[in-house]
Amino acid sequence: MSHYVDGNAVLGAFSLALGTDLSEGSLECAGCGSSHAIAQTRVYLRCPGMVLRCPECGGVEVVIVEIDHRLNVTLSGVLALRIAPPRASPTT
Amino acid sequence: MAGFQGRPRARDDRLPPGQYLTRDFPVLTAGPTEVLSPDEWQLTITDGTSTGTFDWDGLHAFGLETLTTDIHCVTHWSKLGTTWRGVRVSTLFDVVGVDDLPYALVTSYGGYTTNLQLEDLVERDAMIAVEFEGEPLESEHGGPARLLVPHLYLWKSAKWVSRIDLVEEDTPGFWEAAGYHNHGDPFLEQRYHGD
Amino acid sequence: MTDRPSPSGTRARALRVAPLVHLAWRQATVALVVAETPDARTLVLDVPGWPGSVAGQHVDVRLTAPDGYQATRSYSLASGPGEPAALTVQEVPGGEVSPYLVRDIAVDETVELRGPIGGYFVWTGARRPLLLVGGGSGLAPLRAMWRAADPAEPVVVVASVTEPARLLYAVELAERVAAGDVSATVHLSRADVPDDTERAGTPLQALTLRAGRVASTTVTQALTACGGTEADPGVFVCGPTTFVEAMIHLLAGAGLDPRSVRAERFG
Repeated sequence: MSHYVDGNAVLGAFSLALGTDLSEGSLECAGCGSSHAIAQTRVYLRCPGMVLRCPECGGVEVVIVEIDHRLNVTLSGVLALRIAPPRASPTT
Repeated sequence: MAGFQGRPRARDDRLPPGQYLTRDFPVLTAGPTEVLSPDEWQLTITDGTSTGTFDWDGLHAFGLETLTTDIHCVTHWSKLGTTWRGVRVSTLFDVVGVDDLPYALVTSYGGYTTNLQLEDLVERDAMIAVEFEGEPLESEHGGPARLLVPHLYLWKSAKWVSRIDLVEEDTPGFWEAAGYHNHGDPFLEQRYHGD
Repeated sequence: MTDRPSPSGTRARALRVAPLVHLAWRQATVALVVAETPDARTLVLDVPGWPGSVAGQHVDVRLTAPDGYQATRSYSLASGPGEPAALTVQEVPGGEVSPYLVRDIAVDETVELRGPIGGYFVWTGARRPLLLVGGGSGLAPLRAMWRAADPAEPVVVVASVTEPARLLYAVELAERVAAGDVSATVHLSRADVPDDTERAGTPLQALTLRAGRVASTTVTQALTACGGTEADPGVFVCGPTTFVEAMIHLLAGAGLDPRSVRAERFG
C-alpha cells in the first residue's frame, strides 16, 4: 500500500509559505545529496501535516504544518533549495 | 442545497473539543509503512546507564493486559471504546531498573520520533500494544508493536516502536519540532506549539 | 522629450514581478457540469481573472462548512491553455470532498480555488511526440495535454480503467482517434472486452480495447507509435501511486530512461 503522492500536491502551499513560486524549484537532499524537482518528492498527506521525502533515499526533506492558517515549514533535510526565476508572462 | 458540511461532527461527552467520531480506523503516516515480522522486532529501553532490550517473546513473557480506551488524533478524529492488549511501559521500566529521568524520547523503526514526559509513560495507561480488537496489530497501525499513550493525541503513540531513551533534557520529536504541541492533551486541545 | 516608442521587444520581455498573485484564494463559480461516468463529473468553472493554464497544471480547491470547518484538495486541470478552468472529479468512496463535488454541487454555486500551480508535470506543446498513460481519473491532466499537442506530432494514449463505463472522455477520445489526431489503447482491468455488437454505435467502437491490466506489449507498441526513444517523446504518467510505479517499470522495460518520465501520483 502506497500512501504517498507526488510533490505537485503541495506546491501551492509550499510556494505560499516561502512567498515565491516553487513550481520549477528543486531540492538537494541533505541525507543522500541527490537533487530533484520539488514535484518529484514523495509527499505524505495522511498525517498531521505535509511531509516531503527524497525520491532517492526516502529521507525527510521538508515538513509543512498549517497552524491557524499560517504555514510552518521545517527544512531539516534540505541542503539546498533552488528556485527558478519567475517566467516571463506569456501575455505581455 | 445544504452546501458543503464536511464530516458530521457528533456530540458526545467523551469527545474532546474539535473532534469528530469515526467508526473506521484511519491510517495516518508520515512515511512508508514499516513491515516487520514479530521475529524482527525489538524494543530497547535505556536511561544511558541501565539498558534492556525486549524481543517478541521477551515482551510476551510479562503477560498481556487488556485496555479499553478512547483514542484521539490531532487531525480531528476520535474513536471511542477501542480495545488493545499489551504490556505496560511502567512494567518494562521497572524490569530494566531505569532511573526516573524526567523526559523520554521515543524512536520508531523508520526514524520517527516523539517526546514525552516520564509521568505520561508511567502514571496513566501507556503500554506497548501488540493487539487491537482481538487481532494482531496490523503493520499500517504500527504492528507488530506500537506505543499507546491514549490520554494524549495519537502522534505520541509511536508506531513500530524500537527505542525509548529516558533523558534529563527534553528534545522535540518529529511533529513537535514541526510546530505541534510538546504535550498534546486532547481535552486541553493542545494541538500546536503555543496552544 | 517626445514620445518615442520603445524598441520593439523590450517591453515584451519584461518579467512578471509578483508571481504569487495566482495563489490567493479566489471565488470560482460552477458554470457547467458534465457527467463523465457514473461517479465522475467535470466542473467547468468561471474564475474572474483566470490567467489560463499550461497543460498538466492543477489547482487547490477549498470548501468551507457553515461552522467554519475547511477542507482543501488538489485537482488536476482537465482544461488546456485558453480554456476556462475545468476539473474532472472522481468520487472517492467515503471521501470528504469528492462526494460533494460529484454528487451535490450545482451550477452557480461556488468553491474557492487557487492556481494554476505546477511547472514539472506540464506540457508546453513543444514539437515532440507525446505518450500519455493514465489510470482512472489520471486521464484528467492528460486531456489537457492532448488538446495542447502539436497536430503534426503523434499523440499516443494508453488508458487503464476497471470497466468501459469508467472511461473518462470516451467521446472525445473516439473523435480524436477517428480524426487521426490520437491513437488510443484502453485496458479494462476488471472487465472483458465487449463484443462488436455491444460496442456498435458507442464511442468504444473507435477505440482499441484490451482485457486486463496494461501489459508490456501495449507499452512497447505505444512507444514505437511515438517513434521510439530516439524520437524523444514527452512521456507523462498519471494515476494512483501503484499504477504509476507499474507503468514506469514497464516503460523502463521498453527501453525508456525512467528519469525522463514525468509522473503524477495521486495516492
